[in-house]
Amino acid sequence: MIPLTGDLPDKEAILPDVPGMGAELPGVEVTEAGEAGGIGGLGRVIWRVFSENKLALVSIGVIVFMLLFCFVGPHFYVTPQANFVVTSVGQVLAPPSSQHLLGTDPNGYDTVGRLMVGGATALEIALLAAGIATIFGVFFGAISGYAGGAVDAVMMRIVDTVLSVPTLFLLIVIAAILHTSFWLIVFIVALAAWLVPARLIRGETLTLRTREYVQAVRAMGGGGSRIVARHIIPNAVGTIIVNATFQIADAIGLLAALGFLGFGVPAPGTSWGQMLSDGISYAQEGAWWLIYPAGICIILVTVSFNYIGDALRDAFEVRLQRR
Amino acid sequence: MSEALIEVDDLSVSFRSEHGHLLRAVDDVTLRITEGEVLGLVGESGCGKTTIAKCIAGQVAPTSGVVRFEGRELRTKRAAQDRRAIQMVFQDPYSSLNPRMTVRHVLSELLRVHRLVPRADIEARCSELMALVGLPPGALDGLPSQFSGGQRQRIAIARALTVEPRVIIADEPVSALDVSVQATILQLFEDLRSRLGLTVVFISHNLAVVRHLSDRVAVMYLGRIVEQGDRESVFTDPRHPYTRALLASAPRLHQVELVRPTVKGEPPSPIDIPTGCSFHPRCPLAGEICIRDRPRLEQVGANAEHFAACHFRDGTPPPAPEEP
Repeated sequence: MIPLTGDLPDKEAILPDVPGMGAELPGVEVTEAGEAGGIGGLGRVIWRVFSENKLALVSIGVIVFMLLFCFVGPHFYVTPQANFVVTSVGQVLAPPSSQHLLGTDPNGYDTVGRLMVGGATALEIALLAAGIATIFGVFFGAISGYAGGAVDAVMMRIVDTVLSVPTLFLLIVIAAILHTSFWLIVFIVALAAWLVPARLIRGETLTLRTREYVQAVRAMGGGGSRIVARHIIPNAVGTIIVNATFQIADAIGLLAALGFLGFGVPAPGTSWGQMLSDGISYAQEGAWWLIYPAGICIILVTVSFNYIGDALRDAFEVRLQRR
Repeated sequence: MSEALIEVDDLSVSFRSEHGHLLRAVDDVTLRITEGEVLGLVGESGCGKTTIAKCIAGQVAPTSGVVRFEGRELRTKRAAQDRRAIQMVFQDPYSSLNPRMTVRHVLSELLRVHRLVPRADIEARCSELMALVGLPPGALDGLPSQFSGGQRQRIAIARALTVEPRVIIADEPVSALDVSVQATILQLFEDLRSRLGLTVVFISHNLAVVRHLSDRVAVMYLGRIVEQGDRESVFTDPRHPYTRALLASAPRLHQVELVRPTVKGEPPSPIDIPTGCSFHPRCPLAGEICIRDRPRLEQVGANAEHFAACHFRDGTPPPAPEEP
């Protein structure tokens, strides 16, 4: 039989009244809070890391320039862009000149004006499609991940199924069956794009739902929709923003591919991809101004959004480390 | 003992591991928690303390057995009112607060959902809660990242108090904190208990902390309660060899020489629980009866408040097996 060794020292011996522990008590945190600086503090860290990436800063410049060019430009560089504006044979397929900076196309449209119209369409569709895809994908993924079990399995098999169909094939079939319009193309691009954020956010949700603050809200009687909307999605916002940026780049690429294959907005509208498609046959006859400007625009915008996404991802990772 | 507020009867929780092994996290646990008391639940990591807590709070469904609150059975799906009555405070104050919500938002969120106070009084209630946990009202506008560990734990406690619970289950609430801060948080629990009449289930592996705070103590080993009783009995007259070993190995000031652990080896895997008394492979007292028969939690001597699950609880083994 071992001796009874059950006597513990007094609580004072183990939990002494350390004089310094007053530092933990009220009064200190107000200044502390003032220094750390709340959301602004996080925002500053994100911006600092982001701005270290010079390529991303240049990319922002490119995007801003493109937005101005496409949406403000037409007010300064006025060209007729309505249907059937061809006035004289001399203005068809004209090479660059002082009158037409980048020449004209087979219909007599000014190429610079065409780039503005096509760019505006491309950016509008890409932003809308990426926005819709992100919002839908985020909610789909978050609900799937939070619900778990059979609901999760069914929702993710839907994603797998759609993902297993080649995107371009799917898009061409839909575009061929239905009459193309602006909103149909937005819908088609979004249809292809929502799968990635859905999967990403489901993964994030699987980790976030086990966080103790989620458990606490559940224990206190907070409902599932509240937990998803207030506690899970806001904490996945870094992933969401980064992914949305890549979504825009992808959407522009996809839109260009669609346009190139002949599925675009109805005339007299156009998009950069459609301009490439329309110009390709004349390019062999030397009309380089019909394809190079549009191609360069597509590449510039796509690459810029990708660089911004990369830099944002790095910046958010730093924030995560701090957390 | 007066009427129990929470009754845990024959609670077992097992999990199926990836390889199909059955892991018994909690094995046939029976507990009574009286209104207004602090029950300390002690044991090494992996012994099932947290699983019991989560069963009571409704986050884990028991495999068998029941949890009752005021005589009503509580399941994982429970009425909002029962859900509110039992709240948890978690170990890590860094992961238990949503990093994107201000303290005000954290505190007011559930006040709004449950309409516990009129809309106009929410602000006043938030300040009141802050005062209760010893934080200035100015801290309401801060984000969790701006606070120290101890302050965050105070915020987490304030959050648990928003829904006016009757029971707080504190799962290792101080083990992630500095020792000096631990004392202030323990003091806070003591204050809250005397001011609000809270019932507290205090889970810890730290005996000193449990001794400081608890009225009654339950010691767990491999999913079972091996000793239970009022604080003084358990700490001054431990009857289970595991409790003795725990007390002997607790570090203390002015300790001249290292105390040799009186138990051998490491706790067995909960997948493969030994026969008879699950402590017998490590027990210095183990005899043949311990390998054969599982001791039940039985009264120690004449003390109606002290129970131990050991064949040798009264010094000598019983003359013959009590069970058929």
